[in-house]
Amino acid sequence: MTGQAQILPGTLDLLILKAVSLGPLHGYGILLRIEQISRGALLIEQGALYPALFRLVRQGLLKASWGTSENNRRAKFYELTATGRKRLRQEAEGWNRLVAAIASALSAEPEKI
Amino acid sequence: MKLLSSVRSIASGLLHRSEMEDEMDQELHTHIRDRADDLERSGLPRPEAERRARLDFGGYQKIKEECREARGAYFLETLAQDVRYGLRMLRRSPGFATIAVITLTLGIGANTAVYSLVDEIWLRPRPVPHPERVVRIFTSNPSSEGEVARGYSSYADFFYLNSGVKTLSGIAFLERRGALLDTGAGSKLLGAAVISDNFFDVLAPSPAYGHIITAEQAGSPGVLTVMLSYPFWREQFNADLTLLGKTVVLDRQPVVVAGILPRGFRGTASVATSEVWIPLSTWSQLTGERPTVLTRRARDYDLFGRLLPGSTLRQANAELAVIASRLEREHPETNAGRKMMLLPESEVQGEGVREASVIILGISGLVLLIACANVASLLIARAEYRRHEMAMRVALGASRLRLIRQLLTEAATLGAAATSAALLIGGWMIAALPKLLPQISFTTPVDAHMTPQVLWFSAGAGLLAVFVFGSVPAWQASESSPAGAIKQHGRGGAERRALARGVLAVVQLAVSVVLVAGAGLLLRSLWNAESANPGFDAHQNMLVMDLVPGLETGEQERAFINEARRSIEEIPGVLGTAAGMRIPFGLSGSGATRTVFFAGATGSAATEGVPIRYDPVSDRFFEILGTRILRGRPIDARDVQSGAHVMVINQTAAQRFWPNQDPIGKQVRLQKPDGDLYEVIGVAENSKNEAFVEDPLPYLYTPMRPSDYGELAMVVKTEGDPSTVAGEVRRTLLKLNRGVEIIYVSSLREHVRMAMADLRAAVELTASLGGLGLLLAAVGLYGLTSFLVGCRTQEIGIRLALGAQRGEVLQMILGHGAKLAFAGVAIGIAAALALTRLMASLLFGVTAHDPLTFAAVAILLIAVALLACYIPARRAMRVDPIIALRYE
Repeated sequence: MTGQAQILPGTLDLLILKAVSLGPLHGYGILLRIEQISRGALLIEQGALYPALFRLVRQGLLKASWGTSENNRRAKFYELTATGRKRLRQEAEGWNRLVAAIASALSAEPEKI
Repeated sequence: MKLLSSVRSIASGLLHRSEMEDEMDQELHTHIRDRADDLERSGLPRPEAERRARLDFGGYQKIKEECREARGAYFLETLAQDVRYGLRMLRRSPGFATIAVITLTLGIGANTAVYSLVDEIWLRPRPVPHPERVVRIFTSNPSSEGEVARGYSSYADFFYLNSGVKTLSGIAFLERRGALLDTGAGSKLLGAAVISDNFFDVLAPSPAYGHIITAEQAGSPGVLTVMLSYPFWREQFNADLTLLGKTVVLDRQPVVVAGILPRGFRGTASVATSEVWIPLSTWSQLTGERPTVLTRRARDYDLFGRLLPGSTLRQANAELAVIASRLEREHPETNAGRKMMLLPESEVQGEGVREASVIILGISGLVLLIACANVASLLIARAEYRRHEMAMRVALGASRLRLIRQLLTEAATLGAAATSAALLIGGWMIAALPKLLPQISFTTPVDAHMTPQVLWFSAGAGLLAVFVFGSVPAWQASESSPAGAIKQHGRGGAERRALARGVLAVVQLAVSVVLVAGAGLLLRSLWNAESANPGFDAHQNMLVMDLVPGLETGEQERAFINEARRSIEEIPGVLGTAAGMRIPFGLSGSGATRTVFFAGATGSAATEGVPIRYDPVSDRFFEILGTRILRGRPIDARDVQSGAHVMVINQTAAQRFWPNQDPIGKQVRLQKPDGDLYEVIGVAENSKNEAFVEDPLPYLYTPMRPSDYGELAMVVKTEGDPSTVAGEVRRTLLKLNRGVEIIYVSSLREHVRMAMADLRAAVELTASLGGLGLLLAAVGLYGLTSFLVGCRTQEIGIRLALGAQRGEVLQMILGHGAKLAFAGVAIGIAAALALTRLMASLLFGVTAHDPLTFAAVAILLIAVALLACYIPARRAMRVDPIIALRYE
């Protein structure tokens, strides 16, 4: 496992939205999928997950409905709303831009200035 | 979209709370079990897997709490929770709740009632558009007794101003007179406001009913219209709406009631309001009085104006100064040395009652303080029983802020209940207030009523009270440490609580001392006023009357009065009669003056003369009333018959104008520098004329002339109770003159009692508030001592078991109470000494620091405090040691 990065608070929402965009999931499933798509580099603190989910529902980015999980338990499944999809795209674009900018700044060599 | 989902989230949070809770539990449990399954699959045994899953998840309750917050209904939800919880707690201790609510209700209710009164007479702006632009114009009066800056103006002044002031949009005048209303069952003298025809155009109030009289309407020939004040219309005509447009008989002529003025519309009087408002055109037709521009000297008018939107007060005052100097130049004989100035009506409003209002508000505020201290003390005591509950909540993760919020919400519930109750009884108290206030003879009592401002004030007072009594207990209670509280025997903050309650009790006692001291000083003032020598025999059996003979000529009226007196003196039981234009404390006041020119006078005394209050009187006036003649002789029948130019002066006049000389035989001229010569024939003792608390002023008495019989006073000295001859006197008068109007009849004693009505009212008000405060403080001290006895039951039991006498126990408890009492009284006396200074102007015959009063107050308070402690102390004495020791 590569070094685990610290999760900045705002990025949890972004990761949740991404995870859910790949298909409706319940809370535990979102947790697993984030681990999966980050190839194990990002481990979410379990305590932060559900408050974040409730917040995203309140903000209208996710919508929730009850269903049955693989283990035959009743679980609440979350999926993206249209607004959520748009927000995901915006945030992702912004994030990528930021990352590119920082990467470029960090790769500056003394002669190239 | 976000708002909608937010709202939906909050709404579902509030409405489906228990479902939400279940769902949340389900969701989180599913998570934990899924995790446990995974862990099991990776090799852990089931119990271990479940344990790991739960641990990894984190603090379950805390996370649930965060989810609830994230969901967004949290603050409201917890608020609702707190309120529900608070109500449940209160229901469980109904005794406490009742006492707390009643205590607060009394405090808030008293404040509401007092505020409504003060609001009505002073604070609330008059119901006219742009009240801030209404101004009052004064003409200064440079008399020899010192300049009166805010004096009345003359008709000529009004006329002059009305035709040419640029900064004001209109000038109007008001003069306070009297008018006789024919009520069908007799006559009633009304306080009338005689106003310029344009008065309502300038002030522009919106009528409560009917319509406002405009200048045009007032000026229409043949039309006699008046307006009535709201409280008078309600009292006299029972708020009869059919009265509008109909006529009433005023001064024996029919006038049309055009409309009713709005509540709170007042002229120039502070406390009462004129009952009927008569435009000058109507008044001229009723009375024949027609002031003209030539009427420069008579100064009876209050002038009002309206600032134009662009003008400032300074500009207007500057313009007035110019006009005044122009008048001075053009009419030096009447306007020399007179300056004009204006003030905003809001500054003038409530003058004279301002000080008393603030004092009364302060007093009722102190009563509320005592009530709050009581409730705070009770809350602190209750906290004792809730230590466990608080500790449990702290252990479960509640923040201190959350606890304080909950306790404050409980306090607010009490406050809300008390404020609602206070508004209910407040309405009743406000209606009852006018009964406590002075009945000024011919005006309706002040119309204090529930207005939006009063409601807001009440709510504000309630809120303030909650903070005052709720915050300290809340703070204290939230300080409980869980560990100490869980232990049964934990003393916890008991000592701290007892200390806090002790401090509260001391504060309450101190405040009570201030209240009772104030009431005591006023009481002594009243007693002094009542026993002061009024300059006539106020305790004799006498009938006093105000008459309007209503005959054609003064001669006829004089003949009627003389005949009436002869006939009345023949009635068995009558010892004598006398007449005069006024009697002490009479209806028409004693402000009228005669201008006196002294030989050898200088300055304005020479050119303008000295205005001195006066009374034309009949023969036997001094003898019947009981005013002693100190030198010379009184006015007798011959003087009156011959119209002699003689006068009797009072002591003050003698001392002021002829110090160290014998005034008998001295001559002065009246009314004009070259007017008739009058000779002083006697000096009478000073008598009170306007009010008991007045300063002595010079006074002179002249023989009555035919023109003085238009409206006069008559007194009938009787052997026994004057009311027994009243009927016979009335019949005699009517038989001799069917048209005579008897507008006032009273016994002298009652008449004099009425003169002290406002002082008496002040005493009643402060005494009741002070009594209320003292009662609350005593109850508070009783509660505290009971509580302490309860706390120390074990200790007492031990002492008794070890051989202490019961008397010693009593002493111990009483000793503690006495310490509190002495501390409270000492602080209270100090505070009272500082504060009673503020009411010095209301006192009569006592200083604000009168030692006798203060000593009496101290003794009273200590006695009450000791009594309050005594009852629980006796209970302590009776403690059975065995039971006490067993009780944990």
